[in-house]
Amino acid sequence: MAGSRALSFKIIAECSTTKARASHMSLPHQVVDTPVFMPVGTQGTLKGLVPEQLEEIGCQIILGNTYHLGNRPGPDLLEKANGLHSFMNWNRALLTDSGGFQMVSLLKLAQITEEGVKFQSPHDGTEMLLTPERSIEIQNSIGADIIMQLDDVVHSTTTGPRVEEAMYRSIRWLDRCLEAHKRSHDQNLFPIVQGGLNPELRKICAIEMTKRDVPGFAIGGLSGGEEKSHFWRMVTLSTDHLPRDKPIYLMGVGFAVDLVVCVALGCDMFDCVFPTRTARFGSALVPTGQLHLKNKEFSCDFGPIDDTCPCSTCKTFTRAYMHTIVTVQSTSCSLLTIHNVTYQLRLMRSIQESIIANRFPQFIQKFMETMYADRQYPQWAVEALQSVNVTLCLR
Amino acid sequence: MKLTIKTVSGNARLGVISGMGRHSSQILNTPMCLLYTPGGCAPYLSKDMLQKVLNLPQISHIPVNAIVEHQTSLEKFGKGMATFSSMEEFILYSSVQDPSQAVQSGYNEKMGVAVWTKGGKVKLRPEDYMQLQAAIQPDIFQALCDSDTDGLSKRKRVRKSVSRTLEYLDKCVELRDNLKSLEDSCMFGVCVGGYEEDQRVTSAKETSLRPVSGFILEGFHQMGPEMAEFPFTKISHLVTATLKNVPEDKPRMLPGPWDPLSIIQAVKAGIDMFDSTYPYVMAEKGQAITYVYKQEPKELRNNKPEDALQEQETHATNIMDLNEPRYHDDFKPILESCQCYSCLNFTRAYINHLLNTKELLGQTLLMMHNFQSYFDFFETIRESVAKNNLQSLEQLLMQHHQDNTHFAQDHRKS
Repeated sequence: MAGSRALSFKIIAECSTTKARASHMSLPHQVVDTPVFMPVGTQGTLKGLVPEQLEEIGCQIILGNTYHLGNRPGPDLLEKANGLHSFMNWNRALLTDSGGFQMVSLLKLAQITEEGVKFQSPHDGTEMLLTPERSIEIQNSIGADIIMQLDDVVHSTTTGPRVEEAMYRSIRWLDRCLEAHKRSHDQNLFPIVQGGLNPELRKICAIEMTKRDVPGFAIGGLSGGEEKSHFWRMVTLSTDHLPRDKPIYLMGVGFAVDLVVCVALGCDMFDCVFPTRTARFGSALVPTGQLHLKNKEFSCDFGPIDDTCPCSTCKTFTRAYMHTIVTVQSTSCSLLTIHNVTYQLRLMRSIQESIIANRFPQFIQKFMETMYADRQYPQWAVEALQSVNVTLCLR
Repeated sequence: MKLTIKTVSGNARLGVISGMGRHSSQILNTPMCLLYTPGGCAPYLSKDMLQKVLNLPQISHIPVNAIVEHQTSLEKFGKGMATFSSMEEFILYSSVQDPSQAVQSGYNEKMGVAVWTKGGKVKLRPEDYMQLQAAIQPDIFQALCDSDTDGLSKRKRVRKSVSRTLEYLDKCVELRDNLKSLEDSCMFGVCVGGYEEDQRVTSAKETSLRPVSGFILEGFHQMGPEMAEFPFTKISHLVTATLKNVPEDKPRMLPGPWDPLSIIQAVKAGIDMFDSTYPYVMAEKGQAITYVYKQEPKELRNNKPEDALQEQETHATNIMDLNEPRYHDDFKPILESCQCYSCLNFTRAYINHLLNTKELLGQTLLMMHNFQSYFDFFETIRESVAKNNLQSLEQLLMQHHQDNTHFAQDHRKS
C-alpha cells in the first residue's frame, strides 16, 4: 500500500502467467485505470483537441512538458492561473516530466554539473541553470498530479564511467528533489531509475531508490534507440527490483508492440509522442500497424480507417476522404489525433480487460498474430515474452 | 431555386430561398453567409466541434481547387462531394476560387482558368470544369469565370475578363444539359468588369440574359487575407451599377473576406449572400472578431464595473489580436458577453499562449469564436433589415472603429 495520501494504488487483478497487473490508481484529479497510456500534450494542449474531446474518448491522464511550459507560458503565469489544470481547463490527471531530458536533447550547449543542468536560454542566450530544486519548484507551479525528479539522464547507447556517474547523481538529485518538494499532499513525486544498459547499476539504483518514501517509480534512460534485446532486459530487471505494490512508469514507450510486451514485464504506465506526432504526418494507427493515408493506394478506399474503431473519425469519414485532406486541411490533424489516441486507449483497455479475465497470454497471442500476419515476430519480443512464460505460437 | 423577397429596406432585401433540388424542403433566410468548408471540412473543426457553433449556415462552401486532384476518387465514389465529406445535411455550393487565398494573377487564358492545388497550377477549360462539377454534384455552383482583375487592371484586361466570362458561361450552359448529375443543380452566373463601370453594366446585362439562378459579383480584388481590410465603399458604385442590371428575383452573392461593416454596406446595396472566409482569415492571423452588434449593452456575466469598461474598450477596437503580449496574463474570455464555446471555456491568456507556441488549438478556438460572431451577426442583419434600421446598425459599427485608421476613414467616405 503506497504511503502518500495523494496516490493510492489498488491492484485489482494479477496475471497468473506474466508480471502484468491491472489496477485503479487514485490521484487528486482522477482515478486512472492501469495499465495506462498517457498521450503527450507538450505545451498544455493535445494537437488541436479540447479537453472535452479527450474526455469523450476516455482519456484519464495526459503529460505536459516542464521544459516547454517552463519557458512559455512560464511558472509565474501558471501560478497566476492557478496551475495548468485551470489554465488549459483539463480536470483530469496530469503528469509532468522534469525538463531535464528535453534540455539535454533539445539544447546544443546543455552541460551537466553536480549542481544541475547548465544551459543557454533559447530566448536571449543567457546562461541558466536547472537544478533539482528549480525543476520541482516549476512543477509545483504547474500543479500536476504526478511530477518527476530531475535525473541525470545519459543516452541509452552511452557506455563507460559516465553511466555510473549519472546513476549515482540521479539518486542524490532524487533526495534534493524530495527535500524541495512543497506539495507532497497533492502532488506525487516519482524517482527515475537509471543505470543505462548495465544490469548491476540498474539494480543498485532500483534498490537505493526503493529506500525512499515515494508513491511510485519510473524507469528512465531507455527507449532511446538502444537495441531492443538490451531494452527489454533492463525493463524486466527494473521491475524485478521495484516494489510490486507501487505503480511503475516506463518513460517514452508507446509503440503498440512495446506496450504489450512491457505490460507483460510488469509496467503500469507509459507515455510517447508517437501517436500524436504521427497523426500530424497523416498516419493512422491500426491493429495491423500504420496506414500512411497520403499514399495513393487509399484514394479509392471507401472503408473507414479501422472498422473496429468507435471513434468519431472512423464513424464519419472514409480512408479515401482522409486521403484528400491529410497534410492539406488543418482539420485532418485533429481528426487523426482523435483516432490515434483512441487506438492507444482501446489497446490499453483491452489489455486491462484481458488481465482482469486472466486471459492476458491469449490476448498477447491474438495481438501479435494481427500485427504480424506473416508470423515474423520480432526476436526481442519473442524472448521477452518467453521470459515471462509466454510462448508465441507460430501456427 | 426560388427567391421570395419578404421585405425591402431601400435596396436591402429580406428574402427566403426555397426549392433547392435535393434539399427542396429547406428554406434559407437572406441576407446570409455560407459555411466555409475547404476540402469539405470547416477549418480546424471536426464535426463534433463544428456542431457546437450555433446558427450554422445551411450551405457548405467548397472551392474546387481542393478537389481537382481527387476528381477520379470522387467519380469512382459516385455519390458527390457532400456525401464524400460527410456533409449530406448541408446544401453544397462550389466555387471556382478560394476567396481566403489571394489569386495569383495573370494565369487565366482564353482557353481556361487557373486554379491552385497542393500540387500546383491546374488549368480548367469549361469542359474540364463541368466534368469536375458533375463529379462534385453540388446543389449550387459558380459558372467558370475570369475574375482576375482588380483596381490596377487596364481596361483591355477588364474587357477580356468580361467577354471570356460570358464565353465560359455559355459553354457551361451548353455542357450542363448533357450532364445528368447536374440536373438538379443551380448555376450562378458571374458579373465581372473590374473598375470600369460600363463594363460592369455590360457584364450584368448579358449575364442576365442567360439561364442562371443567381449572380456572383467578382473581379474587384485578388481576395485573400488582405481583403479583410478592404472597405466596401471602394466598390459600392460598381456594385450598385451591376445590381441595377440584374433581376430582383434572383439572389446576389458577393464573395470574399468582408468585415462586418462592409457586409452591412453591401446588404444596403442589395447583396443577399456572402461567404465566411473573413472569420477564417482573422483566425489565421490570431485575431478575434469583437464587433458590437446589439444596440443595448449585452448582459455581462459578472457585471463588474471595471469589466464593463473593459468590454467597451474591447468593442472599440472591433478586432482583438490575441498575439499581443498584453493578453499573456489576461484571464478573461475573449468577450464576457459571448456565448461561444471558446469564450465559455477558455481565456485570452490561454489562447495567447497557444498562438505563441504555434499550437493548433489556438486557431481552433479562434475559429469557433469567429464563426459564432459572424453567424450571430447575420442574425442581427436580418433583424435590422426586417425592422428597417440597418442605418443605425451601420452607425453603431462605424462609431467603434478606431479614428486614426484609414480603414475607418474609407468607410466614412460612403
